[in-house]
Amino acid sequence: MDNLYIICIDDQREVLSTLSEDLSPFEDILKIEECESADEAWEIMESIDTEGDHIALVITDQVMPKKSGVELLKNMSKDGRFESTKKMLLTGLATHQDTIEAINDAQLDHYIEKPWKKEELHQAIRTLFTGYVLEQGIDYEKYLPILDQKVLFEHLRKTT
Amino acid sequence: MNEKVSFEWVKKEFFSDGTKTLNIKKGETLLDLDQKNDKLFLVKTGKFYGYLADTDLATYPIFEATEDKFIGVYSYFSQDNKSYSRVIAAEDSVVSYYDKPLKNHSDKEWAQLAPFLISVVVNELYSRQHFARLMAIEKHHDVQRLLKAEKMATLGQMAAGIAHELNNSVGVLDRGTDHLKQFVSQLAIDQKGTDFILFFNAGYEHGQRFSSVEARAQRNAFKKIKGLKDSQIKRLAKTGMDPDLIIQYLRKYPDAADRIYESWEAGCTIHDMHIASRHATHVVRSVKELGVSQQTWAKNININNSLEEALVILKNLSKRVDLQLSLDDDQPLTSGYYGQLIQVWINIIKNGIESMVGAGIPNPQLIIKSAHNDKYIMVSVTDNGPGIPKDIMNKIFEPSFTTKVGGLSFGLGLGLSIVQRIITEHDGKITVTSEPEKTIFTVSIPII
Repeated sequence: MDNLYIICIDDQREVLSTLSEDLSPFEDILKIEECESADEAWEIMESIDTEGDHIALVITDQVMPKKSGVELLKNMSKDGRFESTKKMLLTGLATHQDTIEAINDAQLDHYIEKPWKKEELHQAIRTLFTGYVLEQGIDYEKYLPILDQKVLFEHLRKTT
Repeated sequence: MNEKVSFEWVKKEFFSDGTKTLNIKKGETLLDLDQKNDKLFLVKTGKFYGYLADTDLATYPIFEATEDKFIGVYSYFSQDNKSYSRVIAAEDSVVSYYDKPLKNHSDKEWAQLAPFLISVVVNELYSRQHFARLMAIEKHHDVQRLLKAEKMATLGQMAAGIAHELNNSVGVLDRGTDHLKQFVSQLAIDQKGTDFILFFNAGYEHGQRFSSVEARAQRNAFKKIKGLKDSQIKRLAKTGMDPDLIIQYLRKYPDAADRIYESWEAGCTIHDMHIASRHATHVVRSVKELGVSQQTWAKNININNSLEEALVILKNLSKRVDLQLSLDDDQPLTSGYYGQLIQVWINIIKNGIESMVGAGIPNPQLIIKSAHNDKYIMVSVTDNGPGIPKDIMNKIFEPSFTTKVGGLSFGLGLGLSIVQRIITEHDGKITVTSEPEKTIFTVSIPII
């Protein structure tokens, strides 16, 4: 109960593996799940939700067989269970149209181009994750090591 | 028009004198530039072309005269009686002529001729303009073809340049990976790190063989071990190694979970580097092919043979589908770049097979046919894969360096642009029609 998850989706196993390796510093505090397709991700997300856990962030590739990353994000933003989850597109192949669609119809929170820089990815994750924790009113004490201090202070300044 | 001056009447009245008939052989000149001419010719059979004086345009026809068309209209009626073009027979022809000087006609004859002459002139104007239009259209097509060929050539040169640059880098990475693997193995043995080498090799040999779904299912096997963190279980499951083996090892060395995974991962990384460098080598080779044509033009080549050679190369891949071959029995020989044609077939057949296997359809079937008519040899490759999506249909021949184009594999992007270049070099054609369960690539190679 009350675990926070990051879901990573990429149909190329080596890329997915590299991504999850880059995320390992977060793994002491968060749970990370890797999926090779949008459908697989949806299944995992539903079971996480059923367990009463939370999905803080989804990081997905765009071009994948069957369902694209943007389609997955669109489905999420229409679903009450996942609408507050932060959404990140990590891709080297999104067209202009894909990107517009992702921003307008799927409320995309962040876009990172492949090949990505580890530091840039980490920073984006911290910022989005901090936003999620604060918006959901989750006790942030436990997550302090991975929170974006600037966002956190800004929040504290406004609320106190 | 007076019935009496119908074309038939004119022919009978003015052009039926047997003594005023000439046989002109193909290539012979009927009228030369500035030649004095007092005859009006009517073509009975055959064909003539008229050429201009200008040397640049010496081979560019400005008019064409076939059966029942007049030649020498300008010089016969004009004051100077000089021909402004050179008229050459395009095939063996027969002409009749009328040579009574204009001034020798009586008023009555004039009255009869006038309406006819007007129609001759109008007809002449029309047919020349029509001819000019046809030539303009043809020229337009030529320019288009030229531009396209130039575009392909520039692209090819650019690509070959990039490929050359990359070739060395990729080579260094490839050999470096090999070297690293050997060094690490040796180091492990020297330091008696046999446990390390066991897990390292598992990673090196198989890479990450478990899908994310399989790895997740495997986690249960490790849950019985006490003291493992969730993240450690997740990682051990991901290795795809026999759980019993790992558990046995963990009983001996309870703190080894991270070391097992890290050793496996190091092997896996080198494995992936190997795969990636091999892929890059393949890409570089394909790109180089796009730019250069090292092959020589050969006469009397057999297209069926080139198809069979392609199938030999693709033997392993084609095992995965039901292959049906129906080759033309009496196929004529032609000329072309034999090796490049093999490459064409390899690319098309490979695309077909990969699209079917990739989509995981239950009964993949590939039909290869050859046939011919009097001008072309045709080869068609039909697969029952998912088909090419409509929105990318007009892009499939463009060179593309992406690994995925709307779910298609890398091979299609680059492969088909090479195919098109080769077919263009043969003055051939490639067409594709696609619907689910039926994609047909048809290549036509001219018989020369």
